[in-house]
Amino acid sequence: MSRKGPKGGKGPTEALKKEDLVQAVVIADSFKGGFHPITYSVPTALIPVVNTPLLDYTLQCLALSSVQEVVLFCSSHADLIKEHIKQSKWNELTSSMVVTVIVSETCRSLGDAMRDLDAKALIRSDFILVSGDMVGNLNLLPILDYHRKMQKQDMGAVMTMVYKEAGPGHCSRSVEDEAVLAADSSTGRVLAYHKMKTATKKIGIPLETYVDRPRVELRYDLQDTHVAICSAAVPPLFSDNFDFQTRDDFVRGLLMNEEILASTIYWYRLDGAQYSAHVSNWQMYQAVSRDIIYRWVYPFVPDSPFLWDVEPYMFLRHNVYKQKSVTLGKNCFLEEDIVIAENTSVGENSHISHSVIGKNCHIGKNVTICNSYVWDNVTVGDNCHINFTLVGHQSKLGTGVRLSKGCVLCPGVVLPLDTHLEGSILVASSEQNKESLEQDEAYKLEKLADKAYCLHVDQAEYDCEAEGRAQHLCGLWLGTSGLDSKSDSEEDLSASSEMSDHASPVPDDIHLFFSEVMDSLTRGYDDKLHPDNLILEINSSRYAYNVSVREVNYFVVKALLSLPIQAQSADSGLKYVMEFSKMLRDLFPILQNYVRNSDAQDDCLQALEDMAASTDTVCEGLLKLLHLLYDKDILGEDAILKWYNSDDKSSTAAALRKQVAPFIKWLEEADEESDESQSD
Amino acid sequence: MVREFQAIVMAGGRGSRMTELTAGRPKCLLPIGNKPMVWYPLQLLERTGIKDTILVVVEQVRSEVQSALEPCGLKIRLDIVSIPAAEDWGTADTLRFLSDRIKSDVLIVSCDMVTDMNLHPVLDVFRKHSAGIVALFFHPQPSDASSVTPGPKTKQKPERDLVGLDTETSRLVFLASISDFDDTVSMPRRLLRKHPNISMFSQLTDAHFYVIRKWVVDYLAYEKSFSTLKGETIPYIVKKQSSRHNTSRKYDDTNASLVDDDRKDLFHFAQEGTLLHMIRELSSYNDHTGDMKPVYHGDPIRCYAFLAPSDKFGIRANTVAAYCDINRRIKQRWDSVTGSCELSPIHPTSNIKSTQIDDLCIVGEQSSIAGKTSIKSCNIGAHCQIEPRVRLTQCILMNGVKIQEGCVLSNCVLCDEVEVGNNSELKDCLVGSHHTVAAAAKHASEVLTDVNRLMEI
Repeated sequence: MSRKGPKGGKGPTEALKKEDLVQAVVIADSFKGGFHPITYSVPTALIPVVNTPLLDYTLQCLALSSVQEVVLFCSSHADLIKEHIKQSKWNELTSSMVVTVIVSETCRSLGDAMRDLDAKALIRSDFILVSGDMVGNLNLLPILDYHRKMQKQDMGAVMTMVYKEAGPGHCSRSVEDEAVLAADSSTGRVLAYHKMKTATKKIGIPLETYVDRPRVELRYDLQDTHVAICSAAVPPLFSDNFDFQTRDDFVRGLLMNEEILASTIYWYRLDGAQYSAHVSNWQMYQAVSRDIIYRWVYPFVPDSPFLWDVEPYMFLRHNVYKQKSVTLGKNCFLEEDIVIAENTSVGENSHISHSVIGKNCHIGKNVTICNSYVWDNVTVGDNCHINFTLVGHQSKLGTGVRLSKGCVLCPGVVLPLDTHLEGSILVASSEQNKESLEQDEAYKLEKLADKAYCLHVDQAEYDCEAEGRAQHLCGLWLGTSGLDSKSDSEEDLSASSEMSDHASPVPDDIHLFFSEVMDSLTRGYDDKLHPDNLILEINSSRYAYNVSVREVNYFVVKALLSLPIQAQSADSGLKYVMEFSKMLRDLFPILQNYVRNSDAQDDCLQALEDMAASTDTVCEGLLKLLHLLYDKDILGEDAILKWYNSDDKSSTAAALRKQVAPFIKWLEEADEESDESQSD
Repeated sequence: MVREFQAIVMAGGRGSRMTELTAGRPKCLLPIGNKPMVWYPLQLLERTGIKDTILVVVEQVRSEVQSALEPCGLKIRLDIVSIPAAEDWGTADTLRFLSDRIKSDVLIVSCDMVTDMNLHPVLDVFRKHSAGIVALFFHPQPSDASSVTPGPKTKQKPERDLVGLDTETSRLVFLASISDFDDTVSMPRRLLRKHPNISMFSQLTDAHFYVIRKWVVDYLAYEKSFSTLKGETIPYIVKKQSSRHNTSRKYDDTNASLVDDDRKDLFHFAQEGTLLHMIRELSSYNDHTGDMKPVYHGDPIRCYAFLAPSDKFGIRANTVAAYCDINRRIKQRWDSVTGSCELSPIHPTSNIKSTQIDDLCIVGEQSSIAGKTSIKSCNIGAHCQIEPRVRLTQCILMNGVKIQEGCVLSNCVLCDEVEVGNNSELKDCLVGSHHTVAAAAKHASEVLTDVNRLMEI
């Protein structure tokens, strides 16, 4: 498998052996819903970033690294991707790189793709595994050499993962990839890999990782580039282990069953001059777009002719990139960090800043576009205001439309005049999303116009793993990502307290919803129904009464808290808590299902507070309740502390906070003390 | 005049990891080369420029230590403080006992540290970051695979620590004993957010050399529950660095009164002067990048570790194995460890008739070695008598040892006043003080001692 043989023994013909080819596998599907629902009409790989489809960045980067053969693996929208490749320069005879497209409609994960590759026996030696949404200017050959060097030292080395340094707070750090990597400092071997969720407070690494090794690095300042060098042994490993779906599964599985699989993983640190990012969600879309405009990804900048068929842009002052055929109206002001593609016209007195505008667009008069991404063939009417918004291909905005706070318009949406929207997701037709509706009941459509349906996403039900995923779905990440989760959830808290204040006279529907949830839970608990069924029931009543997500969270927690009160025995705070924890043994999955992000935690605390204010027994047991929920990882310490510190004028609220003060004090020192108790 | 640092040499330990050797004399007086163990840290301090030091010893051996150090020619002024032996004090107890005398920041040195490190870089880290604690760690010394530790072959499990350092700043962010963990080592996420690149070490030797800010002593004087520095105090303070309170710059007194009892915590003691804050605010220096947090994340408590360069020698002679090891090496490393202090390996008053005595030997005063003997790599104390036809290889003989004719000893440690009878053969043995080995005895890998002596400990 090794490329280098004894020097003298190689004739020119041997040097051309197939094994010497550098192969890359590009997975043109993220298999994740990061760009949902736009991906129902455009495949992830063809989403334009600064007016160039993502796949072109990936392929060009591979070509620059002298990759000779690319296996492009597509599943959804395979026809579109095939067509794109057909028209690209990779299809020409002069192309230095051969792109083979493989289509597998049934493929639902990276694991499936690798198993398919194994079955087709397309891999001959070490290959570069990249997803089709990689933007970067990294040189892959040194990494390939590094991988081969490692293989010489360690026969079991099957994968080298590429990371770049980006500490917490770095703007191109994807919230989906929060992970801690433990690696041997001297060899670079990955020893443990710990992916983190929002509520993760502690990272447990096996002791054996540290002993017998002089030095182990714990890295939390790395950004996964989703580029990896794999040995030919990787696809068979996927075939042998059917439970490997994602690359994370693969890494985790290999690290856990080190002895059985006899395979090791290494990591490679990308030096500071090289750029690589994985555009997997709107946050990364925005970060990468900016990085391209700020020329971090050179030579992948709009004014360089890396795009064969596009006339290069002019690069003007203040990072304004514009093609020759762009028409600008009188008094039109291009502030800074702007890309405008060919044949686009901008009307008089329009103001554009920090935005990317595609080709053949018509921007009307007196339009303001800030921090937004407008794709091709879009018509924007006069007097529109577009801020933090993404407008898909062929969309039409009527006069006076105002979009802000992260709207996403799927291709083909037509908005009538004077529509004002904040943070909505719009699709062009209800048909288009049929598939999504079948797949996931968490979506609801609301008709705004003939070709504009507002999509409501149920955050709580959406199967989100990473923090802030819900926010991505709501649209573009607003501004720069928060320095840490604290700042995000602080805003959430103020929102939640507002919500509860305004919601004080409970509307009838909500009242009904609450009683229905109570019924479901009581019956379910008595009959020992499966929690999943109960969740289904609650969700269906939720749709029946049109209750918002946060209200659902609030009322489900409230109902759960009310349950033990109905039990006659719970007449004191202590007994109440005992009853509650007994009940949780059965119903815990429900709580877990609804309280899963920081918003929900705030709702949960609000429900606790309200219950405590109205019921004595709950009030008595409040401290223990908080502790219980904290122990079960329902409530995070950040949420609790923020709730504790939130100003509430009423005397009962103050009294409650006073009551739980010991717990808060304990919590503030929790890290130290819990560690101590463990060691004792 | 108040000096920048006050040094304290902790020599009150009883050598609990090497009881076979410490039955007859205090640990700090065990010979390394021809000097008592405690001489090494003292001369290191002297060379560092420390003018006077407190030497802590157990009450009973005070005069013994004093008389043992007198002939060593140290210029450093010694203030020998005795602590009651019965109390079984730890190092933190000792510091608490001394707290009245402590007026400035403190250097704490253990009597069993032997190193060729220069201490100035360690002190500079302390000064540079105005740290609370700086601890010195040694890399594991490459050990001689061939060397066997005298005594029975016990698999002594070394007490190892898990040490976590911020790779960029060398801030000590994690410190715990490996034996505290069963299976997994958990680390708060907050810590990783603060220090996203941590290097974990499991094989370092804690030199037991600490530079400590005065407030730590004040805290120990106030908080009486701590007994040892290494085991309790330092891990506690290291852990407290990441505590939430640590980020609040000024301790709010009104807030503190809300807490049920107005006990002071660590942060009361660790407050930094406003001048220091102002300097830091005006300075553009920051120890980390990436987030918008102030320098040191605004932490008033900061612990640092100084990792000795890997080519430096550093050892703690606190086990039989380490003790024998340092005795084997000391002559080769004499110059670097003592800063070219004169060695005089063969004492002028000794009487050596042997022709086969190699360069690696050290012979103490008034010892006599008869002819027709072969002595290799041995450390022989004062007043020893070695009769003809004796072969000694890699042995440590303390004072007043008598070895009669025809004995063959290799890799043994013989404590004070040991007598070895005719034609004995000892290999890898420890012989306790005042023990008499019968004639023609053969022993290998044993501890030879009067049982009741061992029981005394």
